[in-house]
Amino acid sequence: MAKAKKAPRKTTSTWKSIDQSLQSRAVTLVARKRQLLIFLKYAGIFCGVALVFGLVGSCIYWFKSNPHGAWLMASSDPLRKVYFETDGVLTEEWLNAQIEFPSDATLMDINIFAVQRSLVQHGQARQVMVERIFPDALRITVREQVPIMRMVIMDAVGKKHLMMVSEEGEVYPGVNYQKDTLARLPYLIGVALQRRANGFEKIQGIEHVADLLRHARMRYPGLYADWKFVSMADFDGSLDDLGATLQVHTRSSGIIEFSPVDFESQLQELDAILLYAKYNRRWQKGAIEGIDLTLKDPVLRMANIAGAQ
Amino acid sequence: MIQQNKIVGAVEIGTSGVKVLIGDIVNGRSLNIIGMGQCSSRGVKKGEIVDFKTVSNCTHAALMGAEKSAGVQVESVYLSQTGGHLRGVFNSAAVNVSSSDNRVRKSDIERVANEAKSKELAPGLVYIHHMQNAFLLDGEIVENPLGMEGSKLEVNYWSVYGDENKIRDHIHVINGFGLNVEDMIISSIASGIMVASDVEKRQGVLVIDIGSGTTDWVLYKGGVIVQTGVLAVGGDHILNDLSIGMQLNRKYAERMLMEFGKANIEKQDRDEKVWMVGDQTIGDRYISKQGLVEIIHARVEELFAIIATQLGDKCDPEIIRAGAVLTGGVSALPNINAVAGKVLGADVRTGRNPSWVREDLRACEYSTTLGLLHYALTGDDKDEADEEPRNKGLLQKVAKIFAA
Repeated sequence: MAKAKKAPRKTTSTWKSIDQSLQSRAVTLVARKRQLLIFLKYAGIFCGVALVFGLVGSCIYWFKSNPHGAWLMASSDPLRKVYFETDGVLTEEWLNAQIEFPSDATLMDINIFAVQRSLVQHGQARQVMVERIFPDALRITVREQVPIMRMVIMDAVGKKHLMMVSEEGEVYPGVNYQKDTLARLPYLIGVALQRRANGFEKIQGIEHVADLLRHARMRYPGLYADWKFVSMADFDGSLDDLGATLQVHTRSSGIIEFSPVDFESQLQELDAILLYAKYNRRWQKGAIEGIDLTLKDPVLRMANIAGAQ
Repeated sequence: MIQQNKIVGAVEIGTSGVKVLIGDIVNGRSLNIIGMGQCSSRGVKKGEIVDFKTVSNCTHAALMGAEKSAGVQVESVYLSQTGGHLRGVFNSAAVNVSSSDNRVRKSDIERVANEAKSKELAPGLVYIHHMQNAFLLDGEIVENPLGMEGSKLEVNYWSVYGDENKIRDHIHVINGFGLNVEDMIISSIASGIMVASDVEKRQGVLVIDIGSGTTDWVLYKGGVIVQTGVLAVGGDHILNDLSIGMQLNRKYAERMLMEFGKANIEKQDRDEKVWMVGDQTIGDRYISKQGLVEIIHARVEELFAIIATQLGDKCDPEIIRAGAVLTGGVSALPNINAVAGKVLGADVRTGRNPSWVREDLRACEYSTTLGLLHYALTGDDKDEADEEPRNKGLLQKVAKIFAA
């Protein structure tokens, strides 16, 4: 069997890979005036340079269209190397556990589409690219799902399993994630999963939950850290349902109900309420049982404890 | 000798305003600030562009104003970048020294650096900076391992990355003016260049730039950047808190903040009340100064607490021995240094741009743009994401020959 080996140097994307050619949508009237002046100033120079580029381009075209370029074709040898690249946490051990290549197979014997299908079946691999590198190597590039929530499911014999939920709604058993990465993720509850051949159907409407979590994590990290469960019991993914709510069970502020639209303003209101509660000496810890943000004005449910107002 | 001039623009697209400075770099050794343009910003929220057209108009007006005041055209732009989408991660790598005599060669250093920087990001994210922290040769910290003897070479990088679409929007605003972005520097690093001294950077200093929409921070230790961070929290949050908490409209909340705002309550403020409008017209009312300050205090305290949490065990007086330096518009809030000092457990001072800068540019709000120009001149704290040089192509070289 071909042994999986470390990939050669990978190329990573930096901001410099962003195309800086002129964007018509960005050109304002002021910019147009300036560009016209510059154009007139340098028109002559550009003509000369264009001639040089034309010659260079013609040379490149000639080299590319030259029939002697046939030397580029390569032959197929027995498979000796497998390069594995991922943008996440999966490892070569995982790859070896998923696929075993016959020891006497040549590069062209390998069905790269079957390899791709086999790896994609594991829900954690979102996208898999398998390339032949002639004469004797394969490159497997995996793009992984990013978990946004955890979920506990029970199988037919009553055994519990921890699953990950991606922002695309894919439910999959997470492999190799660090403990503290998982500890930061809230649990998803109130969802009935539908089985399919390998795993589960995607959860409908998860993009709205992902949007809520993304807003909270980026703009209100203090609030997000307090979230324990997110319930989709009253939300089936349809924004047309007027009664649709997302319920967030928190560690210290009870249950918070969100409408599935315009999370920014709801989070802004919630942040202001909790900040007020924190510094209001008349409100004890645990005084808030819940906050309903789905209505025009937020509604607070207060615990029946002495001193709470 | 022929004098070589390079005209560079420093552009900061902030939540409250766009600032442009134009610098003339002479022979790569000296910098003259020759132009300035400003425009109050619309279409930017928490450091991120939400209305592209409006931001383009505003930025191009500021660039045009700066070019007019300088009397020259900018050749390239150094652009600051901020926003809650920016994140940082430690990337480390180790290699075995390849030579038979165990002396570290340039190729070993390049190999370990490339390995550390080659960690791929998720789709839609791009690196902005890779900042080298320290080399370890057989576990010992060394500044430059070249030629030293050892068997295992390690390196740590603090890599900053962000959302490609948001960064692309910033770049395309500049491209729309017919200019390229030569280099991009995150705001905290640009500010840090100006307000913290080299001695402070060696001892360990935390620079916090509190703007309208975002707060950017950078931690220096041993003369290098150890960690950076951005919070999507700034002066606008305080205004919003005052609007909601005191039931004021934004205009009056801003007036209250500017006139009576403090980060910490003082004894004489406890029973004092102030007029909301001040002319005692219908609708005018008394506002409790204590309530006002308590709201500001809560937000400011929370802001520094989040920074302390992000710093983790690096928020230690032993690490930030030179203390913290506050800059940005909100750093002018009275008593803010005391609150920051209490939360961070360090000495805190308000930053000021150096004396070689002309008087009207010494305010904290210009730290970022001045830092960009300084970066353009010296390549200070230059990261290593700049693998391929920009704008040095045949086209520009030929253009320069004809233009001369």
